[in-house]
Amino acid sequence: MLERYIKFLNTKSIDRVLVFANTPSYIYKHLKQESTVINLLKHKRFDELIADFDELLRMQEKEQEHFILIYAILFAIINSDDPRKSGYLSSLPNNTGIRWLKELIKIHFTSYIGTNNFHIQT
Amino acid sequence: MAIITQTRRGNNIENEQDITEPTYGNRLEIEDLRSEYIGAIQRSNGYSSLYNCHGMTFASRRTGIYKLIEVNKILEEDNYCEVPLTEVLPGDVVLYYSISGDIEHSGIVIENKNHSGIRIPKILSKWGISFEMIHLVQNCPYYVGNIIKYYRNA
Repeated sequence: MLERYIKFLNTKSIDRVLVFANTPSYIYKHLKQESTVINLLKHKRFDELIADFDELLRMQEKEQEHFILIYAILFAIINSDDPRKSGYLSSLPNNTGIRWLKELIKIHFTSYIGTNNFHIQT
Repeated sequence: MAIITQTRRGNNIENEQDITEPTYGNRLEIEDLRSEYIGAIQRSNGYSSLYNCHGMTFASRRTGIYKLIEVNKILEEDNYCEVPLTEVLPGDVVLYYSISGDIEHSGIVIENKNHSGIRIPKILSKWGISFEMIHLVQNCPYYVGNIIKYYRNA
């Protein structure tokens, strides 16, 4: 499966976001805007993305490339216009073992809002 | 697991101790990425997900603070005030904001020398699941396109 995706993705850029993320919102903002993740929708159908995502979640032994792919496909799904998207994301279990997966989906459903509402008087 | 952590006003700060160990792949990638930041010095010895940058800056490395609304709560309820670069002192807090206003990173100022009229603070901060690093304020993964502000509470 990796070969079918890696050629489309900037894995270095995605991995960089995952390694340096301090919060789920950092991952959400940066991977939602990652150009190769956005372009993944040009190469993969929604059904295909879901099937591969489910397969990745089921894998017992995951290498770093698998984790990169999990987040890339997740954000391709999030960026998709498919009407089944919300139902699918809502149905994902809580105990996937994928760091911040639940939080990322929650951010998606609560309509990501920036935090620039905090101003301090100098 | 969350622990009891509170602001000065006594309100709880939502937090989480993440005990997930970085994978071997993570470690290789961290080593690779770290080499991009020449001059940045690794402070801590091990990898840790137990706390994040905000946990280091605001919670003494006891836990991670992952919600930006909680960081804003700390700034407000711990009486942080913004200070201009020329007045920044060791111990002040630095925050890296994205253009959209999100806080993406935090750290503690450890030096603010005047280099021929130019001030470039030196920062101690934790880089994601990577190490704590000592670095010049711009020499980190969070600087690109971001706005930097300094804060102090007394």
